[in-house]
Amino acid sequence: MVTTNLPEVKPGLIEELLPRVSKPARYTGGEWNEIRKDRDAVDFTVALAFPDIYDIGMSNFGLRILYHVLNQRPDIAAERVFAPWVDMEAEMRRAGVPLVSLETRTPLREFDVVGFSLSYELTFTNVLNMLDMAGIPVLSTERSDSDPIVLAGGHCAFNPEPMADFIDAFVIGEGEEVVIEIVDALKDLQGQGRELKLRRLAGIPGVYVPSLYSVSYNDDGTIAAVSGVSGGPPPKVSKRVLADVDAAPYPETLIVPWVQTPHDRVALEIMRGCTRGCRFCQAGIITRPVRQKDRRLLMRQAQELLACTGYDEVSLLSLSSADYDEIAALVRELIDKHSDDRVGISLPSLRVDADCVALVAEIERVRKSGLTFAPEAGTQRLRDVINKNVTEDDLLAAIAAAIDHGWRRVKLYFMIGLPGETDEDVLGIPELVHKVPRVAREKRKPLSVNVSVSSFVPKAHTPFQWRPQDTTAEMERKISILQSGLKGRNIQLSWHSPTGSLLEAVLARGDRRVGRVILTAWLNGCKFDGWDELHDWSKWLAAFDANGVDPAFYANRRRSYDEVLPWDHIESGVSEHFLMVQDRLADAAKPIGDCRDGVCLNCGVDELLPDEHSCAARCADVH
Amino acid sequence: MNTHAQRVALTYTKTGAARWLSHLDLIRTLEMAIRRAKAPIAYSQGFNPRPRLSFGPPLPLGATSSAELAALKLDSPADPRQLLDCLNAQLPAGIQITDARVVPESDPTLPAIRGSSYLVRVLCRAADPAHALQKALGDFLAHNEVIAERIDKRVMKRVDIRAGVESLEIVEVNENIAVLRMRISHAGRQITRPSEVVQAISRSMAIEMLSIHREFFY
Repeated sequence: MVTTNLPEVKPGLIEELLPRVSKPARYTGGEWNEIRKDRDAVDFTVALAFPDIYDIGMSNFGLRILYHVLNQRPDIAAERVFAPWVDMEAEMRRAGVPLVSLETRTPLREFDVVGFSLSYELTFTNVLNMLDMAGIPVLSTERSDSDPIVLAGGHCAFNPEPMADFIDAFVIGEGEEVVIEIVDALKDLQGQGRELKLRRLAGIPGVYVPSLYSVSYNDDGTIAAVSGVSGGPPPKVSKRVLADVDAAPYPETLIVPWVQTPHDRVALEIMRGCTRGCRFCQAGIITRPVRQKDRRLLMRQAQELLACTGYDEVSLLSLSSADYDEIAALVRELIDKHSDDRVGISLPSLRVDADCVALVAEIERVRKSGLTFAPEAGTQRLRDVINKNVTEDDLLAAIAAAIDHGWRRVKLYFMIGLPGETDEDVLGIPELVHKVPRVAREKRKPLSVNVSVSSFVPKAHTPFQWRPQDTTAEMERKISILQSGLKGRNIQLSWHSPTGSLLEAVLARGDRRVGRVILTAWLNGCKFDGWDELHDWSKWLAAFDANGVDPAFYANRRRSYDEVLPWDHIESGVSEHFLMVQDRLADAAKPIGDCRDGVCLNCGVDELLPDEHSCAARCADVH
Repeated sequence: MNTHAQRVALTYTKTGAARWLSHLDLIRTLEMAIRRAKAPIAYSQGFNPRPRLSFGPPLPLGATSSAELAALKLDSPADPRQLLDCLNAQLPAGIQITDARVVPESDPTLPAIRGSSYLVRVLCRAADPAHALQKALGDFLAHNEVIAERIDKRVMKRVDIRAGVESLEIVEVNENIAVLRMRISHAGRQITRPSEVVQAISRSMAIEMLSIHREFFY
């Protein structure tokens, strides 16, 4: 059995460990607005698990929605659990304390369901580690009827295969509605065997039970077929999507974390989906269609959440908040209503244009932070390849506006290794960046520029899902081009670890054989792989070797259109045909417009919604 | 100058889960409770206005207290009793205000504090804990100087912890658990920590610290 040696459960000892760990407030629970229920008075318990530390997990919006949706039901208790940081883990293992929930300090293995939120591939080993710390077998096949059902959802569930050995059932798409259907089905079957429960779950739309499917391979290592067991599950699992975001359950209260988190403010989700159509962007595809929340409803929710938390900032959350139709009116109304209470408004995602800068200038009383823009690529040709509809003029106009409005610091995001990139495109980054301080010099204002560079990671369900990633040697070569090209007193360059990007690429587009590598890497001690101080590529390399798996097969190989992709049986609602057309347009460096500006591009997602909520119906409202 | 301004001194507890809050997180917790309570707190001037809130000496992380001090400035007068009630309704478990009183503007922000009185619970492994403790405390107090090593901004420092200990006594011994009372001065730059005193005593007898509680300032 695959577990590390965990002594018998001794709960209630957390307190004794706290004096010896950093930031002990991560582990106490008891925050303002925490929901703590009497476990004897509920019929069903869910542990909402986030495979990273408290500070990061408490900033996750999906977790907060599910916490609310589940706890709204009097018969269900949902409690939280996060990955203990390494110092706390060492103390817990030494003292034989299992992983427990924050609310009632109940060991995880006493819950009916443990549900993980998978928003980042480099948290996968933490899932295994948390299961192990909880005394739950990490392999799905080794769990018994007395173990919890282990679920996972979030963006990474759109290619569930690498985690298929460890997760009993995946939730594909938006969780608010399906999570209740899952709980009701399991409640119905309490006391019954696991297999029956999993078969029942597989019948719920949007739920994928990997053990009910088998994968066969071709001689060249590609997938021959993914087939469901007999009498079993649907051949394809389609994502869940809310038809009416205004009617969707929404947190009426938010837990106020004990410690300051990266997003220490009220997060108000104003819109789901994005129609910009950047060809590398997974979120932009899998969260389609665009659905905007009603402005009056948002005003009410902002009011409620500010009052119950005491936060002094509301962040308008979405993939592209400036694209919310009534953004200016919403912002103005929020300011009018809350500025007397010293509440600030912020827009986390900024469009590269001067109007958008002017809007942010209006709402930020204090220029406390820099402005961030994402041109993504250094030349117009490459921006056309990725369909990032931003020009150099847009960027420089936005920079000029930022300087005029008093900002003295900007951050620019770029990617290297995008499809079809040449050295000329890489050199285009410093060329473009150097024009930025020039704008400031002309205005006789100081400006510091932070340039953040990441390596392109091809993701499932995007037009670039067939594309190869650069090798790490190539990434390093391009980074050194940038290092020598980006000189200047006020220019700072930072970049992501190439091996981290490679690992992300393997985990993002891997198949079930990658699961063995994840298991070995975790057994070798890998965890918190996204944290530079703990990222250990040599251990991963050993794990790939030990399992005879070549990372390049997953990361650096151009896949053909007729290859069966590991995630082909998971449907985002966007057709493969649309993705192929976009991929070919990329080869021709042809951008397309935003479908909200006019013509429907027939991505296919509309078929997921009933007619009255279709994109067509919404477009008709607007135009 | 706002003629309606009023200053209120608060005494509050820090117990339960809240005792694991760092000083910065505690400040944040109180600021947010004040906002939830809609207390008419005054804000500083300038580009980034902050609530006018000041705090007494921070507690060691993990220590409990029944006597923490804070002072806040209000824009408009409020009845201290009502302020106490509505703040307590918005404070998480473990932080409760036990006293709120209006103080004159002319007073210093916080009353002069000479030192803290701590109750420290320890586990003694000696055969006769009361006797062994008596002797160990006597030895500690008999020294003019007791040097402890302390990591300060990643640098190991040697500091004298004896001078800051104004009194040290046994309150009770119950089997192998003892409660000590120590009065520690806040004068000087290097303030002695209760844990350092226990650490020093543990050099001459087998004791282990269990908990620290600040009972009052003096």
